[in-house]
Amino acid sequence: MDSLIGPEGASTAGVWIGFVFTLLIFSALLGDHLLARLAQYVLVGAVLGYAVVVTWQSILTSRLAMALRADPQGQPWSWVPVLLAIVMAVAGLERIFAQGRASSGQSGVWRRGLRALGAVPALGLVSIGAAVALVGAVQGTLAPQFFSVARNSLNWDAEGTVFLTGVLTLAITVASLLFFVVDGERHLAQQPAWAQRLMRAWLWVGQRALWVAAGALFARLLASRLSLLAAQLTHWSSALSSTPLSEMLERWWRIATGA
Amino acid sequence: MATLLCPHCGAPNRVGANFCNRCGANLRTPDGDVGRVADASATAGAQSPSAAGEQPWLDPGFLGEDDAPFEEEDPDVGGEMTPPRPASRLVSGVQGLLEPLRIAALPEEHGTSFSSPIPAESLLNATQMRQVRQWMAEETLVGVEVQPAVTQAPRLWLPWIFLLMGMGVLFPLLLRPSPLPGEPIRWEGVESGFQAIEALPSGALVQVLWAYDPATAGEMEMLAAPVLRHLQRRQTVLDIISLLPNGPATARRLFASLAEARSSDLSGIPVQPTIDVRFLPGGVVALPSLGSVRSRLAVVLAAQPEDVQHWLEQVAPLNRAPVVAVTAAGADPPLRPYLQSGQLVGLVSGFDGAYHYVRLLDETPSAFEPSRMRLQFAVQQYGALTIVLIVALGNLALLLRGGREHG
Repeated sequence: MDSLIGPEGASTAGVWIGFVFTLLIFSALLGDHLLARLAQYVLVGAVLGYAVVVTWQSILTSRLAMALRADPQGQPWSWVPVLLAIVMAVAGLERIFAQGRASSGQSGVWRRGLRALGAVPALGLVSIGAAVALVGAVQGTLAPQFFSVARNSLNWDAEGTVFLTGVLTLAITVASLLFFVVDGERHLAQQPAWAQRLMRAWLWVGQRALWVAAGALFARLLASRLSLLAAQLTHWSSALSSTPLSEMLERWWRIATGA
Repeated sequence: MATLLCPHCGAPNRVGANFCNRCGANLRTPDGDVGRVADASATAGAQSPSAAGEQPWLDPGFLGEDDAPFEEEDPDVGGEMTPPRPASRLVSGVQGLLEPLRIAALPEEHGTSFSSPIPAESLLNATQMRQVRQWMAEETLVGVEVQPAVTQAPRLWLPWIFLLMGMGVLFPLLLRPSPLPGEPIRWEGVESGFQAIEALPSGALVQVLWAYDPATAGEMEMLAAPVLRHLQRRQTVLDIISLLPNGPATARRLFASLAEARSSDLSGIPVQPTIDVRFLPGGVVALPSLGSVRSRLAVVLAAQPEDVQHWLEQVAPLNRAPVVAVTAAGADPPLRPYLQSGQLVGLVSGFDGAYHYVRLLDETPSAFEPSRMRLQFAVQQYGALTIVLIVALGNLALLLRGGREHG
């Protein structure tokens, strides 16, 4: 019994539980079935539960709560997130419990007021998130990428191959963008025949460029997943090497191969 | 309640009903289906003078006394209450006047005159007749597109692909063949990333964003381990942050395994005594707060390209620290433009990146390391070969099928 609850016992149990759950999730390859689903639900539940515990321990009970408990009036601004969180939680709970129930008179006014108050932190979250994302996209991606391409891609003084690469990059980039925004049937119908031919050829190039890009992405993704699979298999082969299961499999393998 | 299908229109009626609730056909025939069908066709024809006797609604004076289709709908109607008299039909006396549809014509019948139709019941048996009548009684489908006939596509049993893939991966794992000739591609960015870390002075502050969790640890630890070993060898001070709740635990686990399997090169080097991995809740919105940290370098360990992008967008413009991205292979292509623009000083990705980083480190590996690396390399090679084989087989099948279809 001691070995079961001791660190070694826990470690062994962890290996076996992990192995069983890996097999269960892996068995989803053969089709959707109850055990594979059960394993996935357990995994998702464990991750969520762990996230809640970590958030509670590392944020709510340590940093925030300790700071407020130590000096409640020292940092009045620290109470603002607490108040906003409480308002949001109460408004959310009210919405959940009041679902399907009609409100009347004074309770209706209270409810509307509470919901309006609950929308304040939600609006704050959304608006701050949008602003941060927008500013970040401009300062970290759009502007640097644009200036980098403008500076380096099409250099008139560059030697032949570098210049050609720049021209090709520009042409293919424009072709890919055109493929997304130009509809051959709708936008080119009124154009002269030569313009239609040129644009269709350009769109054709853009489509192929996207295919190639998607192919490259997919190939790298596949390599990534292959690494994951190999790492898992290597991990299990080393983790189970010291267990009776490994000895049994080895014996079977020797019988099967006649070694 | 037991029901009886009307032989004329197929509508369900209660057992014992005299007439059909929907079409009014006579249901009182005591015999089986054949008899009922015969009666029903006779009713539909309305040619026999006796039909008026058996089908009272043909009499213009019929008011429906005998036709109470909904008499059982209200079971509470007791003896003291007078059951409601069924309403007379809005239009009476027209039933059975229309000539029945010729629904049982055979191809050889085309030339024959309509005046001498072959009775349908002589061509179809009772069950078929009932089925046909049911079809005729059904609502007409309006607005349903007629789908063109689709050619039979070859059926692919997906587990075959998984089986092939599994065999391709298990083969090197079980039989340990020698790796195929060649070595992984050395992509641009590995050496520059190595040089960026190599140039760090002792005690330099390095920010590390831990943006992967156990789901991708299999691949990411292969990459993160040599980079962190390198940082430890340079005696840097690590400030590790994670936006994922399970990031800190993943980081501590890797640092513990690094400490356990420390290579002999590191044994004489003092490393940071305590490594505090902070969890920063709030996602991307929390990242700008890290911009105030004046670090010499930032290392982003990420399985997804978005995490590197977020760092480059939110933190790098603020503290101007050079960034090295250590990512999964799938995250590599979207991050290449950042390497070319100089926003990333190094990009180490995938198994190939890890392989070359380890070689650049040139450290004395532990006994376990080379065999693991060799095995990983063999699995990658044979796995990639299997994928190429699957793609080739798929294309071949498509080619052969296309050839057959086009003649």
